[in-house]
Amino acid sequence: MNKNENLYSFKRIKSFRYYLVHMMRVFLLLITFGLGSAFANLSEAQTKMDINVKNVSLEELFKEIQNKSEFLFFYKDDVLRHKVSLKLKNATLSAILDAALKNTNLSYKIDVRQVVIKEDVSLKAIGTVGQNQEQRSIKGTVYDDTGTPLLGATVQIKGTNQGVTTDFDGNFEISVPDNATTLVISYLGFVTKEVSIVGLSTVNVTMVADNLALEEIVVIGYGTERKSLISDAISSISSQQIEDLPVSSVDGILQGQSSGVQVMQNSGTPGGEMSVRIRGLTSISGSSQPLYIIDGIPVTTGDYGQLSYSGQGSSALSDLNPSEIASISILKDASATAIYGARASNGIVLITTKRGKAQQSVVNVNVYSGMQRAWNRLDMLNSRQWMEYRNDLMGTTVFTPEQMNNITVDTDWQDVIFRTAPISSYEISTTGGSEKTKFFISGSLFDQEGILIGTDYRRLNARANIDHQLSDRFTIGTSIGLAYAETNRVESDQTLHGPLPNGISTPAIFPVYNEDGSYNQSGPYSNAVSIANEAIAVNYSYRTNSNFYLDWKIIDNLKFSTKWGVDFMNFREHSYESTKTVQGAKYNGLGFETYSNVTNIVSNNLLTYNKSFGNHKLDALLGYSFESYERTSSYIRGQDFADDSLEYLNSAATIVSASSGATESGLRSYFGRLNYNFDDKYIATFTGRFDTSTKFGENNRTGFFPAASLAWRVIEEDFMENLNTVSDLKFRVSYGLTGNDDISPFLFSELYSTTVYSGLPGIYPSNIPNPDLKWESTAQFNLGFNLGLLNDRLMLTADYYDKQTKDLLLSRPLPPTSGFSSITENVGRVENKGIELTLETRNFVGDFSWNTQFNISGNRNKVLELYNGQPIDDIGRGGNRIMEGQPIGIFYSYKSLGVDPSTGDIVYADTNFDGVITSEDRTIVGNPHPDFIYGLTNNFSYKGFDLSIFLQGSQGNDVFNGSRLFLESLQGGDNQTTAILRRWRQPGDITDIPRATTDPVKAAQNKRVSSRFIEDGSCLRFKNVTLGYSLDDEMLRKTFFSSIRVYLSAQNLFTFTNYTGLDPEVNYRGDDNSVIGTDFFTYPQAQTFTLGINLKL
Amino acid sequence: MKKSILLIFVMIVVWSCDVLEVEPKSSIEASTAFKTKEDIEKGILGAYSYFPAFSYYGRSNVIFPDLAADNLSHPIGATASEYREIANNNILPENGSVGGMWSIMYGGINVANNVIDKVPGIENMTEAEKNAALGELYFIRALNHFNLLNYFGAIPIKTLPTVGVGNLDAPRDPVDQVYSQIINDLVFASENLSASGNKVRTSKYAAKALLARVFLYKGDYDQAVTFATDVIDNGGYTLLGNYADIFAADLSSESIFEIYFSQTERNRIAEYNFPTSLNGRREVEPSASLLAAYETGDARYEASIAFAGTSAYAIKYDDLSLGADNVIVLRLADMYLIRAEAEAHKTAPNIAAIQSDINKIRLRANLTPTSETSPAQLLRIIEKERRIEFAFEGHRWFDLVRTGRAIAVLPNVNGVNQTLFPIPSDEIQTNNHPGMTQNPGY
Repeated sequence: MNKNENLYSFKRIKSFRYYLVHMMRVFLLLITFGLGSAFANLSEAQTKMDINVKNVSLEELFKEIQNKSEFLFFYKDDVLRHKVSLKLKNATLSAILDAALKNTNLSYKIDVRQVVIKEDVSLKAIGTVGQNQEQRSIKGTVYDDTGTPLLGATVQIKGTNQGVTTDFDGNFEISVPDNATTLVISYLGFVTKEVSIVGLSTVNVTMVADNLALEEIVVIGYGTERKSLISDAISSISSQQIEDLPVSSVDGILQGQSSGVQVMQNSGTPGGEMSVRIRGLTSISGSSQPLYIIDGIPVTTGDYGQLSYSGQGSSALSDLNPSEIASISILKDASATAIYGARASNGIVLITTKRGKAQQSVVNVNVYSGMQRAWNRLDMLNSRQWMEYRNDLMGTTVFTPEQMNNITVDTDWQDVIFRTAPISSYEISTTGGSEKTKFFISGSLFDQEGILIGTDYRRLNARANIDHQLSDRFTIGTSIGLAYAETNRVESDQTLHGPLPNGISTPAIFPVYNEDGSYNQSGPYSNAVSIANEAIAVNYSYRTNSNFYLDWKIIDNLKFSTKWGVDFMNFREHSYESTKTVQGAKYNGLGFETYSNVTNIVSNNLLTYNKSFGNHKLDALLGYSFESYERTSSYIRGQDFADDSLEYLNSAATIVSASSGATESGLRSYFGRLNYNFDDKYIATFTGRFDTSTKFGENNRTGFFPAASLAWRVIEEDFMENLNTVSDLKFRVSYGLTGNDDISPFLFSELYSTTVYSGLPGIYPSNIPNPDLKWESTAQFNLGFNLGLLNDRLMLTADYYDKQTKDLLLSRPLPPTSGFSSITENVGRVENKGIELTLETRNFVGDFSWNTQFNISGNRNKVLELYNGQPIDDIGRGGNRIMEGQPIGIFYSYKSLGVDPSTGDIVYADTNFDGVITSEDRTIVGNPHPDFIYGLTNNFSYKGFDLSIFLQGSQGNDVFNGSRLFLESLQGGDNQTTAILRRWRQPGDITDIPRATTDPVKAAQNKRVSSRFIEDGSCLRFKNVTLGYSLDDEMLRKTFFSSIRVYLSAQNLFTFTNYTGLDPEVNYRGDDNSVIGTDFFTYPQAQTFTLGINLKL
Repeated sequence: MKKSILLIFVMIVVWSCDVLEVEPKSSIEASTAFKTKEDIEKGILGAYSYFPAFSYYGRSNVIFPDLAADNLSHPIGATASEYREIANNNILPENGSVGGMWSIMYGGINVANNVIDKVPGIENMTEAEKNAALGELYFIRALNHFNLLNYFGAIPIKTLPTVGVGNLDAPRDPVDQVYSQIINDLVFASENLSASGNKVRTSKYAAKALLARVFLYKGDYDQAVTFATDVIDNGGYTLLGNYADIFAADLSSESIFEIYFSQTERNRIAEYNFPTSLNGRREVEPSASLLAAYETGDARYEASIAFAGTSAYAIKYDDLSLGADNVIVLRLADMYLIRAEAEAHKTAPNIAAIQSDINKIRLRANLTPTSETSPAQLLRIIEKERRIEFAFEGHRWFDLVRTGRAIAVLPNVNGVNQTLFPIPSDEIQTNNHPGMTQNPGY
């Protein structure tokens, strides 16, 4: 074996141990950093100090305290006339202030670090009475309902503003006048409690959680709503659900988290795009991706790459850092989405980023680091098996027995192209603020190498979210998100130039390197390693997604709000193939440089009004919004490079192509919502939006999208009062219209495009006009209920929906004799019907807690009508087809009946019994849509330990394993899988693999696109398992951290599937509506192990 | 504060006004496209721009006639299954490369028809200028129709531009009618075009040369002789002394009409011919029977074929890196062989004239002149000369099919059904005219 050559390549792959050591280093560094730094203790109230002043003004006293502690004083000037003399040792702030303010009409309030001094009328009364009274001290501890001490709970003397907050261990000490009888204890999220202190010097208080206050607030279109009052179908995902996942993108974290949302990771390419489908496919030619909205501003999504990396599309969505997210709402039914009108058919994903709170500043550090590897390999022929196969194929002795017994080269190409790759993420954020100004600031670095050589992804994010109250009536704020991402790509799917297909398809008899160290290029395809090492293909994304808002409270119930946002992206691709690659050698060095600038400016202007009259509550919203979108791009291709080491186009002698272009579009919208609530029992919501879009034809420029929903909260009815087991019951129904406008601009217009012949400019008709062109419209009916049992220990949400989409924006194929291949028209109808169930249970509460969240959904997609009933045929490599009565992208090809034992050739079903196999014999052979998809999350915690197990799966979907077209072709120069070892050899053999033959006609027939290559793609994945440990208070006290958690996480730990390819969860055509479920040398997903730490300062 | 609120309102109003005022940036609205003579010129170039497509003269249309016949074969290790189908004469209607040719040819016809429709309404053109413009457009339309006819047999004739989506279903027109349309177009072109031309655009004699070929294919031998003679005598073209020079440079004096390629509008012919060791794709290679067909000393051998190790590859169009070599559609040698073949079919052929025409070609190739006198044998000699002379130039399949020799010569062609390519399934599925039928056997 030619070991030296292959070892050379293995040296490039670092060992697992290397990464382990690397990770440990990072952790040690962080922990030492934390322990060695002097950070202020969170519980300032506990700070003790010595005070010795004589006849100073209060101001001087406060300055003295400020110097000795972290406290900040707020007061009016006129309080300063009081003079005080104090001598106290080792006193808490409350003790000092109690003494200092004893004989004044002033009271104080401590809010963590802030001390507010106020003149108090009520205190004046107490004060005057109390002048003669003795003070006494009350001590105590405040616990929550599980017995955990509550830090920072407010303890006040009833009827005064005098109070203290509890310390780290929930302890408080308050000095009260003798005649005080009651303390009021309050804490956010708990029912405020009054305790009698008559005759007591110590009180222990247990607080009861306030379900109403704790209740989740869900973000809805242009607003928020309490979860229990929502009448629409909305799923929400909180930041807790998604933390720790070693997933780089927003779409990736949606997977398995919510019913009705199917997320397909089209390939394992770092930073690559995914397909997200909310309640099925509603479109054939338009996009089926949902509309993403971040902090109210629509996000530019999609692939802006101009170089083809077929199936490895980049994704503008991947520029966003998931750890900046506070919550995600997925709007599913028409009533929730119609407020986004012409872009709402595919559902809406509303994302809000984290914002500051009025609290002491908290610094969070989150770091994880780990390794990834390919979870699966194909069984390929080794050199000896390859030689035997070639001899059988050619029918002659291509390789002599001597050669076969002295094999010198036996390359495992998968070992060469796959590697163990590191992944890490570093994030630091700080949040805090006062009542007036709040902030959230974060910065992060995500760094991932791909498991396929030549691929990696690095991203830097920064965010500053600031809110400031200008006055009682005005609030302004901004959200600034910045991102820089760098992706190293290699071509893969569907090309002859990608390391993955080339590596897998190259027989083991070819070494990676020649004796002289150069790349061995004698295999059937160009050397995979040469492409990965010698071809440069990087793209850079520079992005800002920022906005500015102003809220104006005109009168108490009426608010005006204006928000201006911009999503700007510069996407640059830089590519160079040196002459060491086959592609580069052909052109003497081949380089590309492309730029795309995408700008979307959005203005949202809202007027909101709410009013209660007795049991009636009314919320109204009126909005006006407009958007201006512009995209410019340039593209240069050059060849004949002066030197292999020069990768930029200034070294290219020939510029073979250079172009630039621009497109613009605009959208103007008016919208409104009216929400009526009777006694929290009956809730009705009416929504409507007018959208005027430049994408539509002059006859249909403006669309109207209305929707309505009703909810009946049965739980509020009198007859439910005695049913103690039922804690929530709500029925919901909604109906409405939404649209999809995802088409290129000016498709409605008759246009001439430019071209060139003989070096001179020419024009040609490029578009058949269609002035009636308009949006796709989807009418959706939704029926659902929410059921809570046993005090919401068990919560069930169920929905049934029926989505009818008509006027499909269909790129209808035209007879090529017309000179056009297609026209975009509003023809055809598609239906999606489905059921979604979500079950959340709290199985154990207390010391040992166990929560379960299970969601399952099934969608049935059906094409109801196409233009003249014409099917759209033979799309993609797997023979996807769009035909009436079937789901979009059904597999339609020849039906293989297996291998004829007498001839060794595949027999195809003659479905029309005409005695010959023609294209007329093609039939439905598979369905790429799953019967149902599901996700199951179990969270356990005990003491400091937490364990989360997240399973996700898809059942009943077929996958066309296109790689087998080549890897079981039994012809050509491609390496084969070991499946062909059971091929037909002689008459009588019963097998599923045909013979190896050089008969060109038979060989071609045997590898026809047929049911032979369709497999069950059902899979169940242990998507994520995370085990964490949080240090307890005892241990934390020795550090300067208020919280430390370490965790170990595994992504794609196990995958259960019968699929024989690299990964069942793939699609070589990326985010395509009709080419689905097709694997063609697609970059598989990685198995990832990470070790992480969360620190709070 | 009130002022800033006012300012915001003003901003909202001002900005919102123009978000709907958007113009296309990379295309022209139809209403403004054709106003002047210069616009017509751009339209004509737009019609020409379909020829250099990869699915036309940029690759497929140059390779397939040799691949479907016996000049090129599909190597065992090659990957393009669409090419294998053509090499095996076992083409499926779904074959995308064949479908691509069909679409691009009709695309060119539609653009030509579109401009033809606009010419009469242009104000600053003289009648002669209008006729010259129409002549050029008619030539483009005729060449597209002729190529379609040769691959697919009866095809829909298109003489009106596609406007809107009504009435797009079209029947196949009988072969005779297609010929008449082609001949009418070319006769008009030959009468209205000027004799001078830059060869990458058509001219009076390019139209006549194509007419000669059309009449030969149609079997109208008198006319074929007439037009070939006219081109030979009056066209001003000369046979180059050295065969290899025909492909060494563009716009040679032998060339009558060629398709323009440059580094920015490249062809991929060399890429598909060249072996992988020279960074090509080697989807096709010269067949063993072609290599054997060359007579010893034939100068055309080394001008047409090169070897990388033991692998032969075609080198007439050999600009692998840039793909900038023009592809010749019509050249003078073709006229001599057309005239010879047409003459041999006459009831009383002039044997000496036939010999003379054939020998012009043979002598240039450093071969001995023929002294054959039997018209039947002369036709075989012409067949072979055409095979060698025009190897890799996209003639062989049509020559064997039009002479009815395909079944006898080609091992994979066993019946007459195989002599026509299938109508692409894209057309069959979208064109609902009952007259749009598939060719028999598919």
